[in-house]
Amino acid sequence: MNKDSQFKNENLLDIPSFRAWVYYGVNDPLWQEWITQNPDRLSDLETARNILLSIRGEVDNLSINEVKEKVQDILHSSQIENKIKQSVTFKKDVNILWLKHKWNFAASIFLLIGLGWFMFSLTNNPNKSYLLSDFSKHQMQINLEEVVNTSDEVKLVNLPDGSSVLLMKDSKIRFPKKFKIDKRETYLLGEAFFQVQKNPVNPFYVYAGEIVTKVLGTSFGIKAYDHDENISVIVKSGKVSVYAQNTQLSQSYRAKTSQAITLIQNQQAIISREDLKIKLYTDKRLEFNNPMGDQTFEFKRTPISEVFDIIEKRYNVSITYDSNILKNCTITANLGDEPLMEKLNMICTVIEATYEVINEKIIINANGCGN
Amino acid sequence: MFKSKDLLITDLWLQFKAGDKEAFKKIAEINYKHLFQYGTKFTADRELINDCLQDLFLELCHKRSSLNEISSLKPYLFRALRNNLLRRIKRQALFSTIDSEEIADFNTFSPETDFIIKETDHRLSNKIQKMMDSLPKRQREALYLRYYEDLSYKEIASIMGLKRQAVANYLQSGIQKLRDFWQLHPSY
Repeated sequence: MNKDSQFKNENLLDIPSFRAWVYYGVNDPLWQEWITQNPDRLSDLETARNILLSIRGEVDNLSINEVKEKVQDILHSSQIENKIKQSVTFKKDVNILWLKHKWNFAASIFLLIGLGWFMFSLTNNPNKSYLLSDFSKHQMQINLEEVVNTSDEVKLVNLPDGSSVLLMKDSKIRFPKKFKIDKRETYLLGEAFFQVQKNPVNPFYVYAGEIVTKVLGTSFGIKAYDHDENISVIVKSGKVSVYAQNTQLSQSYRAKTSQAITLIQNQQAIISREDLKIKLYTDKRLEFNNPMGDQTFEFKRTPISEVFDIIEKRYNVSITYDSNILKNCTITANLGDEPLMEKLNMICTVIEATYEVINEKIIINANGCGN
Repeated sequence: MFKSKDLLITDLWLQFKAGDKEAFKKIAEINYKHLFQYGTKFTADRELINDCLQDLFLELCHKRSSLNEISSLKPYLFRALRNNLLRRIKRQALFSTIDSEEIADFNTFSPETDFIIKETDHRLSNKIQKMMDSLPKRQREALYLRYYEDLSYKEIASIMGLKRQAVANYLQSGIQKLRDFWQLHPSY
């Protein structure tokens, strides 16, 4: 086996076993040996390897089990279709009809939904409204705090874990007085901007219409008005995971909608409420009512009064403090996308002060910054 | 290694045509993953891809007696998936504000895969992405089918609906551009 002379003049890219090695690790010892014997070809090998990897791009990992499952589905469908001519029970008929005439069945589902809408809108809401998910019905039964914003300005809501929510106009958020130990669950109708307190062992969920957004600690915006056709989730910083709830609606679609999509900074997911299809965008398509605007909350020897002014404006809160006592205080810090409570914690740690929230006003107790 | 795989598939194919369900299952299982991954280069909609694949294999199953002259299964499957998928993507795009051209094209680096790349490799992956983006999408697809899927020029031409010479041109200039790029960025 004289590989050196065999490959000497050949283009590595054109050698099938080289490709097999790069893509699947086939015959690794052989190629390691070859490189040892031909060290002058190392840069050729690396270049060829890199070319092959960039051609392939990212690998989408379908597990063996997923493949087997999908193929099972295919076999199942073909068997069921074969049985159409035979007599079957009522239950099977439904499945067969659904598979064979999937559009007809989908149409009747829509018809039912149409009726649902009609009933719902007659009794509750003059505007068109989409089918409420099971979760919406579920959360109505539990004893939850509810905050509604009907004003034109943003409304700050401080959650039990210290996270901040800025509710936009005509929006409503529900949450328990105290979060569960393993889950932080909130329910949103409308539009809001979230700054979630970091807690990796206690994930934060936002249920908005048909979608669930799961976060560990991050800042993002969700737009899910009843009258909208789409739900939008935009991530400002951190990472969230978005997936469709297992509602009755999504169960009857053949497509499993439980696939989760992960969004990172500057990504947006738009979910169509009709078919629960998710589209992902980055950067340029971002349109976002960011209450924080361009404010990065980066401060360098900034006087406290200025810091508080900025916070007041962005969070639409009022902060009461003795400007005389604090006149020498400056802050150098990057408060970033932390929730309001966390920002206040950080500021107060620096200036050796404490704060309280009384009647939605923030009161700072300080002794000043001596020099 | 590839040769024996081809033989295996031919054997299975004959059994499948004879009506062997197990053979059909094996054929589907062997090809599913690669077809799926090819599909992900056109759309992030996994359910759409699975849907198309289901239709594809069901149709294969139904037509098995009339499918006489398939010299090679793989290009047939890839071509069928490509046509079906692109048709459905373009149809969907009719009702969205997104440019259908942009959606229904081959893209080895799609935004939603960015996060798979680790933090440390971000800068390099940006460079690679820029470079790959500068290649025409058909060129990227031809490269993928040639080097990753081991298809012949003729097979690629039939899948993509191009002339064989066009495929050859794409590949030649594509490899040159890639070589130029990677020779500037050694030892990563």
